[in-house]
Amino acid sequence: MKSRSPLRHLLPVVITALVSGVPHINVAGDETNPTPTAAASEEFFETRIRPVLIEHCYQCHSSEADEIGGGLWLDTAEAMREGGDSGPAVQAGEIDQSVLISAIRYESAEMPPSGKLPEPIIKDFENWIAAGAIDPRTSLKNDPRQTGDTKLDMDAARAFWAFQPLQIHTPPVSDETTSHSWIDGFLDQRLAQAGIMPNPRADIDTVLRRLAFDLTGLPPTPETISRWRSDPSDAMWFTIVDELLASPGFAEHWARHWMDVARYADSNGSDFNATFHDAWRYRDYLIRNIAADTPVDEMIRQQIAGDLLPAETETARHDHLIATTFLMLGTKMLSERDKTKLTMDVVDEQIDTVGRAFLGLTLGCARCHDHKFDPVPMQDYYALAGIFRSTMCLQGESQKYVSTWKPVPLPTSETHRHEVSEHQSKVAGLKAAIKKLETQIKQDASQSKRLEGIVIDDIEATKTGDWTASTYIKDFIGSGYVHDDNRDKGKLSISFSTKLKSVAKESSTDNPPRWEARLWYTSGSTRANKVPVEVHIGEAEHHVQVDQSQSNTKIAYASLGKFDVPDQAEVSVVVSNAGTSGFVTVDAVQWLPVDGSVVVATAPKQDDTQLKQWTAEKEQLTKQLDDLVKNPPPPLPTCMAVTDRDTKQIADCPLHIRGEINNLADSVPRGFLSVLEGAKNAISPRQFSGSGRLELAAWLTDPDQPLTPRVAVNRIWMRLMGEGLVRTVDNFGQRGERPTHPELLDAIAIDFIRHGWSRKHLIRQIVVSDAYRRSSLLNEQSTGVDPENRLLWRGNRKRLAAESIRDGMLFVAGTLDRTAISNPMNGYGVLVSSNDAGSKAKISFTISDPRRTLYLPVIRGETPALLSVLDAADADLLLGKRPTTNVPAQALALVGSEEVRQWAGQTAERMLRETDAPALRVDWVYEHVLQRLATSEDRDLVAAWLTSETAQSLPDDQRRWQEWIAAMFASTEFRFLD
Amino acid sequence: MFLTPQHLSRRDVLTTTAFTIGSLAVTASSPRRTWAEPLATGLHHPPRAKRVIFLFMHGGPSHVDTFDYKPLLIRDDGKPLPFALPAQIDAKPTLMKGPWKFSQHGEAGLWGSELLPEMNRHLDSLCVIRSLHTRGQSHGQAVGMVNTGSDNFVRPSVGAWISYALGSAHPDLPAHISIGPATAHGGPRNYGAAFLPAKHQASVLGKNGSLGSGKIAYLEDAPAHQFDLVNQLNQLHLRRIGAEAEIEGAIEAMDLARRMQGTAPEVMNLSQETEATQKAYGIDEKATQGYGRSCLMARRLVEAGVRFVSVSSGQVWDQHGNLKDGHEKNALATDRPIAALIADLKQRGLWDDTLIVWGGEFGRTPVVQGSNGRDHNPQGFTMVLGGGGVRGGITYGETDEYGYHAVRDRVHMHDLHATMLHAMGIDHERLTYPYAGRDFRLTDVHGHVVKDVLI
Repeated sequence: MKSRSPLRHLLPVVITALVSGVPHINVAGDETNPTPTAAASEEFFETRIRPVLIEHCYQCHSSEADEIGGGLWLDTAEAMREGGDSGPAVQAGEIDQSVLISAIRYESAEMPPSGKLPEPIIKDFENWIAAGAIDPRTSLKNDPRQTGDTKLDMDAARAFWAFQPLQIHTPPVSDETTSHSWIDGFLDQRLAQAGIMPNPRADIDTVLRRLAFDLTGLPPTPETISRWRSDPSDAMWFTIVDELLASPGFAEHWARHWMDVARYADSNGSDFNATFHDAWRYRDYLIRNIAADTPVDEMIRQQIAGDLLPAETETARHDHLIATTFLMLGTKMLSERDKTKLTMDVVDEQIDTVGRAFLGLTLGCARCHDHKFDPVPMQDYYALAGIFRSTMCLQGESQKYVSTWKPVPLPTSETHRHEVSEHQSKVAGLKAAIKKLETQIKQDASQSKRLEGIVIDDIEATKTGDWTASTYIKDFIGSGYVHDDNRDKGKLSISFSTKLKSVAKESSTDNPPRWEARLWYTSGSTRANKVPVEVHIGEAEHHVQVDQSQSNTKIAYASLGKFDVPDQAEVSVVVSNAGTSGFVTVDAVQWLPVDGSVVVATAPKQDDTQLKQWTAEKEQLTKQLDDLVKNPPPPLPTCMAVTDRDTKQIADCPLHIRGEINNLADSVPRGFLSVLEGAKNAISPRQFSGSGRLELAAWLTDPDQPLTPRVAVNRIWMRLMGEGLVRTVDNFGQRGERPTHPELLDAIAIDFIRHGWSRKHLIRQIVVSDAYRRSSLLNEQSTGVDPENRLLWRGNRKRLAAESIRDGMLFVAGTLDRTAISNPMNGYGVLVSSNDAGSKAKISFTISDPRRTLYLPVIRGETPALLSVLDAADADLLLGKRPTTNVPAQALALVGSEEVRQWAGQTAERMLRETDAPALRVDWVYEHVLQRLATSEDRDLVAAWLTSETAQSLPDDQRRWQEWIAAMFASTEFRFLD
Repeated sequence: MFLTPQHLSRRDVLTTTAFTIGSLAVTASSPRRTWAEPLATGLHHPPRAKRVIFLFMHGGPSHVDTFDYKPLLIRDDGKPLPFALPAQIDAKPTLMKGPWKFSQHGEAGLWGSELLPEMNRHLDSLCVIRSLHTRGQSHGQAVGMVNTGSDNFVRPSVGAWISYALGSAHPDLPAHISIGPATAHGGPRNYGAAFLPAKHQASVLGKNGSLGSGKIAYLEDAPAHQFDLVNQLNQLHLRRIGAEAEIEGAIEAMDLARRMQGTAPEVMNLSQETEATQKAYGIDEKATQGYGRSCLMARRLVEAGVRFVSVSSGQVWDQHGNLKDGHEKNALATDRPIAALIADLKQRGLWDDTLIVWGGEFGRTPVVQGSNGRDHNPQGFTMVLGGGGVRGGITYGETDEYGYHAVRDRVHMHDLHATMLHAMGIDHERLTYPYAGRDFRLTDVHGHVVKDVLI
């Protein structure tokens, strides 16, 4: 019985993959049936309905289809209601009237023609229609979202749960409760409604291990274990909780949590892996402030606008500046040559990060069009973009085309500043003095070399009268030249004497060697033109006049004539300023053999002495400089922070049509998110004191703005309970999950704000609850009702983070070094690795370093294999909740890693040292590695191993235990918190 | 592709995270598929190619010196470029002809220069796309584009998408392997999974153009008895706590790791090849040994069922100066191994369903840089396709008369990706993953399948 339904025109669509259970295909049909309320949500449509439509219907029933089947479009809500040739495909609430249902049931038509959809999917469609056929799709034609020309209905959007103000709810109280936390009231009520009996408390060893790892990322100490075992009372529990909250391990562990969200790294990664020399200060800022329980809202303000916040103390100022490193940590395409694009990409990264980290909103989606699911119009995106574009992040270039940033000075003491500036000026002074000496030495060497024959510099000459020394005109011979300052005419003379000694080319006593005498001077138009010069050869005297006013070169010479000079004869040249007008300058006198004779053994020149003196002086100064450079005062601290741009560069940002940097519309006044603003913002644009970050920070943490506290408490809840009350911790929007316990979420958020946004207060509230301490064991009945444990009838089993697994092994081995690594990138240059593809980053601290993992530098692109395979945060992306994978690579790394074996070996060694009798070994090992007592089954297993052929073939007990402990490290029990 | 993490049921946990190996999407709870015939019907349509080998010529080989014959460039050598240079270029606007002669090859008469004589012999079965263009004037961006489809953001690599879509065709091997990937220019990002499940990241062999030891990290370091011990401990744990999916998954992963330890070294053992084969790939000669081993490894891997193998030449093609010496050295190192790979695939009957893609992150300018080099040219360049689903013996698209800009039948990098996915039976618009509030694609909101290059 087939009608002529338009749906039968559907072309075959492949669904083989669907039914074969390939994981990436929608398997919604496998899930438990939703409640009617669940089906009445956009989320239900997005996850259960839309994918099926796209997969199986769009090919023939959408604007993408080449030919529309039966005149029916299924790609907008409107079109579906209008229907095609056979009438409305969907009528809300009317399953029987909806042609779509009869078609997919293969009743009116057989759709899709390639094969009937699985029954659960058909059921989904029925539930969806029954619940009102909620469908957020609008017409795609002339989509105003592409241009920001939108008319989003903000009032309607504000009705969404996440944008609602925090609601006060009184915790339900049950009569029989023994709970110490009002949190349990909310949870127990829901469990009772669902008819689920929650699990009892976990056994005492399990629950303490859970607490210790959750709070500090480390196992409980043997001392704590024994105290707890001897008194597992609530009072002792509170004591241990407070001890752990006060321990340094707490701040380290929780700093690492936030570092995931802050996409913390010590290098840029990407195309140009630049070193983040100062990022570690931000890591330490987090540790310091989490230890001090600085209010969370205060820390948010500091991270957004610390540089603009008032600071009463230097310490506060210091922390405020460092906090803004948060905005700088993103990975950037530094070598992007189009800097306008780069700037907007950086802005985008910051908006996306701030949106997800603090608001749980994916604001980045609104860069190119209005957000498709959340009420974030492009206008809002560019209102925020104006704030971040007015903020300076990148500045200058580290090499051509490659952008860099400017380290921001941190406050320090006056004494320190003084020390540094004094040191700097001393270094500069020494460097200048050394440079001067070097110039002199070099000139001396070059001049002596350049001028052949015998050269007598002016400083070696005998001066009469007050000659002025000068070095003004460069390229002089020797150490400078002298002039008469155009004064004292007739009173000044200068005499250059020497003995000329040479060996004639062809030895002949008949003809004495012939020499040319030259006078070197600096020429110029102000010089005298008739300088009297006398040349004395022995007793003979020659008179010459030199014109110093004309020459092609600044340093010039005049030939004084050629003379036959008997060997060893005394010669002298005397220059006087008698009768001259204009400056008389004298630089040197040169005697040049002109008949091929070679100069031999000139008399030791005075300027050798000079040279030696200079050289000695230079050596001494160089040594002083070395000492100074080697022992500097501590450098002035800098941090990786943002600043506001110059006032004239602070501006609203134009809306970028389709997100394109060259397609600009009108500027959008800077501002925040319309959906979270009342009508007040619509009336007048906000006033900003600078970039607007200060105001943004205040707005983000305004107690009346509900998203920030909800997102913040949900993150903390997730760390302790395994899942958030909103499971999508980074997404509170339409596409995120809804809270499992909305009243509880709000109650916690309100309590959090009332207690001054105290992280420790909130954690204490949670871990003293019954819910936190529940056993994680499965229970058939409860599993049947609530398989995903959304009602928290049991503890969620949690995989330890990579850091905890590694730190835990070091802890058990007894080799964990609790000191921090300060300045881990010291010694790295601009790049962690040179930028050709063949190079590898130099690694200063490896995975075998005994310090806690969070102190090891995070070099992007160089995450140690053991950590990355255990799902350590990929610093390229903001990560509110790490995925926990279970890939074979993980198994291989745990079993094959040299480090794991090494730590197992150290543990075995320690165990043998600390146990007296072999009988105590099993106890020691279980006590230390798993923090629990060994059972008889455990003992049997260990015994079987130790006596096995493989074990017996190993050389000694230590090796046998090393193997066993290594296996325990790789075991699920070690890696999971039960 | 619409499974959101929050909707994972227990069974989904098993199928998506726990019971997987490397990129393998096999499920223990579903009937074991016949892996030798992967997805005959394709994910979205019947595939022509079942696996991909990407021969990545990192650094950017010059298109006008290899496959894009430009007579006018030769004629006008030394003359000024008759149009403006793009922004941010260091080259001079002076045309420079290449030092290599062009001739036509094979029955189809495709042009190829004497630089790559061995590849020229196969031109009848190759498709030369001469009109590629991409984003990124610098390596970082362009390398990101060719490998991930993004020049600025962290996105899953092509291989990760394919792994996500199709899984491995061998139960004990990863779906995605990268041979000799660069440690710079994005490093792991270029073979990473980004927000896709971590298992889709490539397993890596060697680095920077070298196969290295040719071994997967830790694979052969794990002593077999350790697997037994860990398994005993895990079983005991499981007995105590009940059928917890995650623990079962960890146990299965351990089991698969062990099987992988048994299988992979065999698959990856090049010495099992005959001497003649090794010789064909040039493993006996110093110049060709490096890339030859990588290519031979790639063939062994795809033959065993790996979906996507990239084989990097190392960043050697970046001749800003000394074009002649540099390109000749690189051609010598890669030409014979690539030709041997093609011949080998043909001979083993793998050619028709193996897609090979040859090319760099961009081409090089027809104008001179320095005295004898060429700068980066993302505005127009050549990539070569062959094998599964590709029409051999054709050229597609053109650059302008000097080879600067792609002008006719332009193929953007997104289009190439769309085409590659199409050949694999995947609709690039429907292969999506939800992350940070929206569905992401390899091709973002772009990409058109270049149907003319496909059979």
